[in-house]
Amino acid sequence: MTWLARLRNVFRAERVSDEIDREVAFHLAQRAEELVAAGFTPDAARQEARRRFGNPGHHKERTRDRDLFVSLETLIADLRYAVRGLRGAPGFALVAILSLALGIGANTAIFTALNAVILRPLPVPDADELVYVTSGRSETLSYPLYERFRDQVQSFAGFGAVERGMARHELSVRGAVATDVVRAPAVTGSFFGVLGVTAALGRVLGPEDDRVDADPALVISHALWQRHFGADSSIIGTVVRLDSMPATIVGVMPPGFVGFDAGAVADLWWPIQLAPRLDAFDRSWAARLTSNGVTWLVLFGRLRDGVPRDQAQAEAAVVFRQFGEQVASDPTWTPLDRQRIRSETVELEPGRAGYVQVRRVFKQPLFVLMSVVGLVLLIACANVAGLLLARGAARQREFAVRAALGGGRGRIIRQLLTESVVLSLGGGLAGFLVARWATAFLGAYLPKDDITLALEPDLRVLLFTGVVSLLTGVLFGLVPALRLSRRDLVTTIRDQGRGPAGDLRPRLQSALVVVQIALSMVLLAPAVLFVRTLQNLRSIELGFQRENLVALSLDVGRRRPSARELSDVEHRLLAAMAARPGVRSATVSGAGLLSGNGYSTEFSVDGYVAAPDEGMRAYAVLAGPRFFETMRVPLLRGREFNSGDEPPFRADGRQGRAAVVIVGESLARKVFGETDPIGRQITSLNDSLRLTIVGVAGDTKYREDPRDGTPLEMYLPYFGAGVRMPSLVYLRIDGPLSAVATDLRRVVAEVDSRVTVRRLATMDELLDQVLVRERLIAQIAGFFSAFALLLASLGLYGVVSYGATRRTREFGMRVALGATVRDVLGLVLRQGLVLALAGGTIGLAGALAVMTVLGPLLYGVSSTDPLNLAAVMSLLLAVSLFACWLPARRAARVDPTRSLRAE
Amino acid sequence: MPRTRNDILQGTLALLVLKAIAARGRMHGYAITAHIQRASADLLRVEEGSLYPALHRMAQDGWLKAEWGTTENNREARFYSITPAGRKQLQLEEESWMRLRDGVQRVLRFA
Repeated sequence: MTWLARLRNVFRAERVSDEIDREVAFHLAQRAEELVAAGFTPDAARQEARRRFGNPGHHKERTRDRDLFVSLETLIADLRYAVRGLRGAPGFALVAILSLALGIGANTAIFTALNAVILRPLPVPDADELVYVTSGRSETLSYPLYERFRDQVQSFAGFGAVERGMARHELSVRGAVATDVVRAPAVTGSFFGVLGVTAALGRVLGPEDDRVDADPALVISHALWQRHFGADSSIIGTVVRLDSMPATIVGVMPPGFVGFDAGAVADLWWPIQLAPRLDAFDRSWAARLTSNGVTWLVLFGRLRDGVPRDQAQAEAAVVFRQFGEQVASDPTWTPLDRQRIRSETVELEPGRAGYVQVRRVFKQPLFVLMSVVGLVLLIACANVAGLLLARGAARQREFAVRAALGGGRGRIIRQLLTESVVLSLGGGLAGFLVARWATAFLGAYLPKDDITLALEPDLRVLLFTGVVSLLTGVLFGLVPALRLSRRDLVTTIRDQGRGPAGDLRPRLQSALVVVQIALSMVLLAPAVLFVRTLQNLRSIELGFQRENLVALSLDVGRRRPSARELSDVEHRLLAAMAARPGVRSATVSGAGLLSGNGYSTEFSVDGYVAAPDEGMRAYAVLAGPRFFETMRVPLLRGREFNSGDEPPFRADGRQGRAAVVIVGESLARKVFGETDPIGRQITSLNDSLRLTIVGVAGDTKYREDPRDGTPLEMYLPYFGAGVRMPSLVYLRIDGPLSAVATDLRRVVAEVDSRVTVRRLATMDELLDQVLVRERLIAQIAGFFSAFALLLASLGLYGVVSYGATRRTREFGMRVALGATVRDVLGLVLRQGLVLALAGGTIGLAGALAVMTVLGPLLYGVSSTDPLNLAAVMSLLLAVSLFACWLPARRAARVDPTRSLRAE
Repeated sequence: MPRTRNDILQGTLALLVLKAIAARGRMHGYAITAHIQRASADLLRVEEGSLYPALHRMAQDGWLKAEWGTTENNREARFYSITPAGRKQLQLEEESWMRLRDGVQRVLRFA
């Protein structure tokens, strides 16, 4: 009887039993025969044979145990029984599985996001040894810093850098007409070596590619190889063109390789030293390798064997400080800047999961949401446990009989747990489907343009779902199992003779409902705060009017037009767009409001002496004609910029600098007090230019985060500012964007076919992207707290309903003795409200404890706001009242004669 | 189950069964019982039912092969035959038993 045979026999149990019976029967028959031959009567012979044999049942069972895996057989029997039981109570099963599906599915979805953003390790060997560098302010650093770390930090066995972000370039293959836009970040020659990966075809980049005069080599991804080159096995050696640089494809990476920037999976990688040769039209590439001001790289390294991260960080901090000193020693910095440079620090973050740009944004919200859905699952568990208890009450007789027949308590508990696990596994399966949908929903919150994050469930997620389902089943099944298997046999079997199921007092179920209500309170109170935070943020006064304002960014292609050409095109565009129906006005801006980009300059004013610690630095954006009209920024004094302010083009093709400026209200008040600043002059120290003030505008917000109150201090004329900044066209429109979107794109194409619209969005949409964290938390916490409240109130309904049914006789008697409908209503409602109040109070305490840590996530609301708590409590009580209403009404309608007769 | 005086015998059951089958060839359970009884001149009497779990276990361990067949009286019975592995096991059990017997004898003689 091999192991496999024993396994198989589990499914042939009856046949096995039969065989053993026959074998034993044969033995007994033989012995009986022999005894008869020795003189026994047939009956006596049989008895003696049995006596000699021993207890046949006992021996048969022991034999059977040898022939198959009993534990497995019991498990299968339990499973069959559980499924049969559930099929007989489809309503219960459906409700239970649905609640569980939503709870488990939500957990799976959030975990999938967590996995993608934070947990999933890079598919490289010894990923734990990887670290990446961040400074306090930003996660990207410069090339000179990379070189310094590479050369001087001994704790790294290898050090590399990769360009952050989508890094779009044009890829053209000889003979093909169209070019493809690919994601092609620049990498150092050490990139693949530090990661410890090799190519699937050809070779990876190495130190030999780290020279500006090297033969341009490219490594492409597996996906690009399939998509663009048809998985051609002779790809190695193909010459292509990346932007304006011819290059050779030297390697193809295996599928699944994501590089180090796990959130922006690249199509190909090219050597960073070739930057100056990449784009003939863009001179700025060369500066990227030499300037410390251009922070465009993610720096990462592999720790040397046995070197802990702390040690490496200490060493890196020292090297960084020396570097900072060197940078700060440049005499052109202002003292304020110098101080800022000196105060910067670096940190080494664990690089096991690579670098994901949105991690900083989403890390905290995801953990908050994980707690939220965890609580929701707990509530669902308590709910299902209550359902099981209620259902179990009807099965008391079944358990009592089983116990009387010798089924141990452990056996019953095991069977009940099997039923629970069947439910929870069913919920897990359904939950997995829920999670697919929910994950897609979550994905909508990610900024699609900048990252490509695969929110796909992998093995870790599957494992998580499985374990959670299992634990959930045990969790909600344990208490009912313990409870239901512990019954006084005699009274139960006797009691079954009269009335409804035993006298199982619903104390446990009431406790479960109180738990559910308390937990929903813990979810509800913060959720309301989050929603209010989002509302507050969305309605922050920005200084300009947001409604019907549209921002449009243009792409002028790689063949950069001259300054004069560009100016001409922009003027024509503005005129054409403003003339369209549905467009109220159009203007252009350099950097735009709420971007945090911009121009800043130190300035001075004649006759104004600044205090010693007062920073005389102004932030400025470039404003085109009709800027203030379009943006609806109030002009308090003076006028807008007009064509008179635009200086002519000089002989060298560049435009002269305009000498006018419009100042912000705060600046004007600070420097000039109440006197009229029109006509006065400000000196911009950066370019030693004297600017005449022609207007004063209301304060607008400068930084990208609307919470940051830093006001914009200066506006310079767009046409004639003398500086290039990414420009935005702003349009004030009547009505929704969809009505004019296609029209606008057409206008752009008509004015100049080389120019395309890169992005077109309303101001509200742009603001929403800034507020993505708050939106995510508010919307999801809001949804789930509402769902939790629903579950809890269903639980309350169940308990109150059950309690009222139990007391039908009592109510009948009361009514017969003169109680009014109101009295009975009151009795039932009281029971429900007691539970609701108990749960609400406990929940309140819990919510207060939780909300103390939520401070940083809130805006404009206090975590201990009594109004908020009172409102949530009232909501809870109102919903609970409603949940108790139906059973109360039913109980109050009872006909006393009927209830008393049904005794 | 409380230990009966037969438990010592249970431990050596495998030895007896293997030897019986090795000596007499293919046998069914009842025949094995009868053989042990006869061969031991009635000194050994096993609770007969306990034979079967042991037989099935030995079949599972690969020392015996079990198959259904018919007796001379045309009755259906399950027959057990010894396998090569079983023969090897028999040898081991015999040696083990000899050692036990010698050891016990020495201790008894010592008194």
